[in-house]
Amino acid sequence: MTTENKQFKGVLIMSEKIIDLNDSVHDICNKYPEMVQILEELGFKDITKPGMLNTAAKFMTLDKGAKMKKIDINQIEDKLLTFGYKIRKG
Amino acid sequence: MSELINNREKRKEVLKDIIRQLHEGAAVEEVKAKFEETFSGVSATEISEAEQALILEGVPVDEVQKLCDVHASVFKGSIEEIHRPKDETEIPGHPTYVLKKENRVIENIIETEITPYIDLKKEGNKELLLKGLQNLSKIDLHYLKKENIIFPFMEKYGITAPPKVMWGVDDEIRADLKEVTQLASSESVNEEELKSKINNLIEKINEMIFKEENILIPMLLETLTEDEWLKIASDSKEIGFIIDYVPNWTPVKEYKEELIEELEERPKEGMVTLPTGVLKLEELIAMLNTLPFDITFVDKNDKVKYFSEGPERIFPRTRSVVGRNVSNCHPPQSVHVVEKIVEDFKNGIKDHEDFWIKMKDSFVLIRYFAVRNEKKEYLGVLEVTQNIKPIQEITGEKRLLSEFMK
Repeated sequence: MTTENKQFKGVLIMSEKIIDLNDSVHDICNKYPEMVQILEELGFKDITKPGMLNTAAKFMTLDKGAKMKKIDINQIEDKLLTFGYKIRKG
Repeated sequence: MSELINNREKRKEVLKDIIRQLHEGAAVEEVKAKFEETFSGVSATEISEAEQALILEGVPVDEVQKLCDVHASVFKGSIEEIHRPKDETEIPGHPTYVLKKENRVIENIIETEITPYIDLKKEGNKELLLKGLQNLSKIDLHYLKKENIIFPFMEKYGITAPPKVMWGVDDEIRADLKEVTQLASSESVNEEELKSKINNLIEKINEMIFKEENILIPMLLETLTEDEWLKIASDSKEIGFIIDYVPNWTPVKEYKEELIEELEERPKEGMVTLPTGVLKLEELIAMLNTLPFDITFVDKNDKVKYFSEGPERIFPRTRSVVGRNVSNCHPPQSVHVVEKIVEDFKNGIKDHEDFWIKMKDSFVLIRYFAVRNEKKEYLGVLEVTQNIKPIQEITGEKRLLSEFMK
């Protein structure tokens, strides 16, 4: 499935998808599996490497990730919004 | 004992349980005792996290808020102001303290010895930049400690991907550093190219520092036992440090008085008389170390009394563990399981318990046996661990006779 489809689906269903910027990447991806690809596109490149999601990702939050990768947090928020996620800042 | 268990997850569970007990009407005094027995330092953040977890599990918010008043009185004085939460990275000499201090040195080298001289068009900068880059090459010591001492412990716990990824980036940084040093020392330098390469390198190093302090260290602290940290601290000396002075880290020992005496009185040589034979101490030691499996004995007071030192121990133990609580030789994640088994042994509910786990190329059988005397009184627990992969692979027969016929 392409991300475009997912985007469409997200808008269509309009279910409450909430992401806290202080949640770990591990928790986020467990809850919303499509987030793996979305986050990879945003620059979290190591996320798709086998064995990273269950280990390092437990200690990585979106907030920290953005700081580390020097990604503008607004950019992350924008992208998540287009996929139908609500953002919560812890 | 429990203060040595660095496991926020487990503490959260216990905290939740305490709050729940209060909710179900347990006496404050009762819970207080349990709290004090289990925790020696717990942060307010952790308590609020546990409350969050309760809310997420469906406990109504106002219920949890009501609980706040109750647990505030229970926890009063024990949160933070009395027992400061232990942050290992602030304990002088702890390997995570050292790693962080080294990162500060690396940052300082970059800020004061490299960045100011990055513009080679200025007279005299070249020598200073080369000196700075030369100084930065000490970073190798920092990475070597991670790769050769810390990563093997992570692999032991099945955490293999992060070290691999990190090692890859370490190598990139090494290669980049080498490249810019060569570029900077060559006769005809392309200043712009060099500048952008150095900036790129600095970015990579800073990202690595961030990863170490925000992912690696928290992950390690949640996984490794204090004795493993001690081993890391002692092995680190062989590689060396970027910082000039590394404080000696000696965690508080919790020897019981009588145990200290027992340890001091132990004979250094002599004979050990057993019902079925008499052994020289030397024979006994060597014999136990030759057993094709590892054994650890924990006495009835939950203190580690002995472990064998076979050539390839599956779970490393350091000698300093002797005399200390059993919780020190198990990773935080599994220590409560061990505590439960020991409890069942003490109560006579069970006599043994087995586990088997896959670890890299081995298949490890871990067996716990209750050790009792003739009167069936509990003396302690014996842990036996063995890689049974080679045994599982045995098929067919190999008889003495068939050897003889060859």
